[in-house]
Amino acid sequence: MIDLTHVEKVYRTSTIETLALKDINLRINPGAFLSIMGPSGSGKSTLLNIMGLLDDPTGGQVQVDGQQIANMKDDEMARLRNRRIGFVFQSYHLINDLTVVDNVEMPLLYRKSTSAERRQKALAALDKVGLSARTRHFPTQLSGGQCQRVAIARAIVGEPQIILADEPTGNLDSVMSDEILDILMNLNKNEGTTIVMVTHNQQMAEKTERIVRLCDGSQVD
Amino acid sequence: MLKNYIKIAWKVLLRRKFFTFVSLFGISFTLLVLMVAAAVIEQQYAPARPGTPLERCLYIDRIIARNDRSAYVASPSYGFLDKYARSLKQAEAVSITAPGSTLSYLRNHKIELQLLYTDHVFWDLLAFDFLEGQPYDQAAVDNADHVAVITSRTRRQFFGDDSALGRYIEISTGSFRVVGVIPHEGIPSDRTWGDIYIPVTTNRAAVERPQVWGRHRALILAPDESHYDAIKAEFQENVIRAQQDHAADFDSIKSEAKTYLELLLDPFEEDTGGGIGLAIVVLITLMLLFMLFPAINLINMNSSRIIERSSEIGVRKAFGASSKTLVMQFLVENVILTLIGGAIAFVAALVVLQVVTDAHIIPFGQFHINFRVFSAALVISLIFGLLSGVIPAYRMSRLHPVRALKGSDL
Ligand SMILES: Nc1ncnc2c1ncn2[C@@H]1O[C@H](COP(=O)(O)OP(=O)(O)O)[C@@H](O)[C@H]1O
Ligand SMILES: [Mg+2]
Repeated sequence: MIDLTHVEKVYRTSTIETLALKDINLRINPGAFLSIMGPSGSGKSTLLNIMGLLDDPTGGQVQVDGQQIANMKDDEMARLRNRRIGFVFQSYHLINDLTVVDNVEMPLLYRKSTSAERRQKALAALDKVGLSARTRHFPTQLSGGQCQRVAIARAIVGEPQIILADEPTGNLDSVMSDEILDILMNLNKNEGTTIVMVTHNQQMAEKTERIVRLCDGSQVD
Repeated sequence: MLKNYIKIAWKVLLRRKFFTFVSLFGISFTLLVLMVAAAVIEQQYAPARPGTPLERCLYIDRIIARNDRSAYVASPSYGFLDKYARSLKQAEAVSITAPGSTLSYLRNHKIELQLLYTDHVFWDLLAFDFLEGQPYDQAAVDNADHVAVITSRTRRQFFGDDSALGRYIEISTGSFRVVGVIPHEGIPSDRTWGDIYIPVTTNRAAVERPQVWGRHRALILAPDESHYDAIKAEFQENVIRAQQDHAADFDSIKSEAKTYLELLLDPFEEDTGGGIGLAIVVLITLMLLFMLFPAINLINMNSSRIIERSSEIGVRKAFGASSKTLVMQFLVENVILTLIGGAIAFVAALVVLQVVTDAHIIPFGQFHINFRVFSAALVISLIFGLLSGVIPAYRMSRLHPVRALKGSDL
């Protein structure tokens, strides 16, 4: 469903050029659970952002469901992000001005829906991540593990086919990390959601179907 | 969808109470200053309250007469205006007046009254709603009768709550019988202000003065603004005639019929003192500076808030908000803020202007909210809001989501 061919990413600043990704070829099939590993600075986040249409590659091609991303207009891209992809960030990126349930509802605002539908879906998503009791809290009132669960609820509320998680447990202790991994594995197993997860944790990675290793922006598997 | 935007905006504004408070304060303070300033300026310098005949008036206020010995820069005399302005064919009416002040005694108190000498045309031209009595007519003016029209304020000063008709007011030039009372609030401009109005002919010396310069002025009612140029031109022909008539005394005579605005700018012209004009410019500059602070503050705060919210923009984009949607969201937020600020400012201005009016700080002061200024100010605030809030949001929304997200980590 996501196809990367000869993807390359160069970051240019006034003084230096960083080649963050070199000739990446990757196909992600529906229902897969894939982890991306590699040392810090090896291009993992860059790769995930390009897959999630959050950034443009400087070379190569990205296809989602056979459609070229390069020629897409802003609102077509927005639509794809909204329908197909759910993102989970290492630093949660919740909106602190909104309550937990409003945060989770947010993706639904960008498609046709009534407020009752949104509320109901958001509560259901929060239920799946075990946070039904905290819906009226604000993100600043939650622990890191709870925040990441809110972020996952937000990622799944729109029932996307793929979830991209960038070090979702990077800021969490091992107990919470396991909880988060369980949630993701259940989503993959029970709902068939495709999952791509960046992780530093070898044990966690080994529980997934496939590991892609990056080093200095190149695939080394 | 608009409902959603409003909901989002409302939630954000409630959540960010401090920002909301500061913004509202900034917006309403800016608007308040603008409205109060506008009301004061309008009161002091406006040509006329909207809807009065003065809106289509020209003025002859000044004459410049030169010979090789000296130059006279002064008001025209009654004789000059009577001969060269009264006869303007294209004017609907021409009134000649002269301002003055006079002393009167009220229960052993000396008080100063603003005096306006007028002809009977003045009353036709201004069509006041008389509270009691009526204006003096042509016969009274021709006879130089000692009759007077006073304002409601003067009536209150002299006669309390009683009727003033038939009663006498003693001023320096004699005793005048009150024939009419006009509402103090109904006086449309500074050129028509007076505490007491008496026939121009009661000052015989001024009326019979042979010189071209004196202390009078003419008020010319045009059928409408499109006739201004023709009337001005016609008057210029008359001025040339005046120059010929007075060729023995003067090498040149200059006088012009002007709109109120031209009159205000007039002090900058050669030969004349720049006092009032300069004062106005200083006043306006000060006010603009004064308004600049809240405006800059507003823009600043707004932009930094958007940058602060770049992470929110990135997140929303990552979950499917298009640039258009995001811009709409910030637009709605700004519009709501500005409208609430406008409402607060409106109420505050009502209160402030009422207090200023009641306190009689400025004589004749009747301060009103000018709706045109209010709407203009509101539009300006909206533009500020859009420039400062929506443009950064737009630029941010064009970025790739990662860039916006990183903004928060900077
Ligand atoms: N916005 C950016 N500008 C310049 N260089 C960047 C930027 N983002 C990432 N990089 C560089 O690209 C490389 C890959 O970064 P990243 O994808 O974040 O690695 P990882 O997630 O594996 O730690 C690093 O060398 C990093 O310094
Ligand atoms: Mg990373």
